[in-house]
Amino acid sequence: MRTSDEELMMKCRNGDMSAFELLVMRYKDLITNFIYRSISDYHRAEDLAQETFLRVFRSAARYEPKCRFKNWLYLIATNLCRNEIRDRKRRNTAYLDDLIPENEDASYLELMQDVSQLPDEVYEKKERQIIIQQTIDRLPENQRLALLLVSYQNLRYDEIAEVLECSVSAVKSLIHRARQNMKTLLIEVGIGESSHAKV
Amino acid sequence: MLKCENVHPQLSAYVDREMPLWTIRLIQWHLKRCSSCAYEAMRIRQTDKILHQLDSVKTSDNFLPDLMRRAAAITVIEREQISAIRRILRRLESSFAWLRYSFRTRMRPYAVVASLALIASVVSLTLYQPRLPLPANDALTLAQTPSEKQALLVEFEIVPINQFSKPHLSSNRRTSPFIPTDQGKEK
Ligand SMILES: [Zn+2]
Repeated sequence: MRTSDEELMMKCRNGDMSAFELLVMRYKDLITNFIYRSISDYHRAEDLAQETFLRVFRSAARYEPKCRFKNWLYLIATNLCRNEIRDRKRRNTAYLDDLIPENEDASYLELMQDVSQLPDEVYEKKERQIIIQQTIDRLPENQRLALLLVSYQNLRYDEIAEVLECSVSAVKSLIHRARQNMKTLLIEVGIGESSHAKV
Repeated sequence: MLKCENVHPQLSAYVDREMPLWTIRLIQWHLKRCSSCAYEAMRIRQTDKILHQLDSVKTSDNFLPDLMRRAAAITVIEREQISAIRRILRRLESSFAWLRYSFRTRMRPYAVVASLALIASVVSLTLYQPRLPLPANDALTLAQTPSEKQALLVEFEIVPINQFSKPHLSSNRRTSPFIPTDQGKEK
């Protein structure tokens, strides 16, 4: 029988390193993917994923099993993502600022250089993926995080509410607005059909 | 009968099955009859499909060993420190709980008087400030316009030093050999 995350965390609280390792194995890819989708930088995403687990380890002594481990883990990762997004905004880097399109183009070209040697089919797929990721980046912070948590991490609305520290109705509205914005932005970049092609 | 404007904001939650079953049935019933809302629901599913075209990433091979090494470096001492802080906080918390209890039951009037006295003493200490002598260059700092300042400075240049006698200086603190006063002007 699979040991629950909460049981592993209680073992980890008593200094059991193998329990911690097992938890990391369970969540490392999920957390790295989530952070990567939020900040669009793989290397930084790995760093922040490591930081997430180290924070879990450091505060294991404070862990109370009444809180679901998964939600707590995503809460830590989400706060790290938020800090990263805000730091970048402060540093005025290209990533999230759709007010500076020339920088966006620069990062796009940089990304495309890596894939330009690939066969046509793979190249097109990669190009499409980069455009989709850039569209996600253009969503406001909370909408983006909520959408990623529901679409890629398959969290329920009440779990997302716990992670984003808001009400379930706020999550519902965030996800609704995120999808509406995403739909419009995708049409803008030529992915997804336009609303004129109504059936 | 559901109206489109009520169904529309619910469609995202409907696609995610984040509503009671009876609401899902109601919306399904509406979608069968309303092509506009059915189209909107289809668009939400389509957007989600597009999102799923992104490949997921895997952590690099050295992620786990690297992380475990870093975790091991967080020494036992640090963990003990955290638990010691927790013990202290708990003790503090329990003492405050006792204080709260006493306040609620027996000590309310005393506590009110004591806190009022504390607030009064803090306020009086904050408001009390010893009187400082006025700065000697008052006339210059009080001058409003640049031309006034200039006039004062020009006067300073032409006042001969021997016009300032010693008793004058000691009788009026505001008189300075550098800044002319009204008395100075009269001379
Ligand atoms: Zn309708």
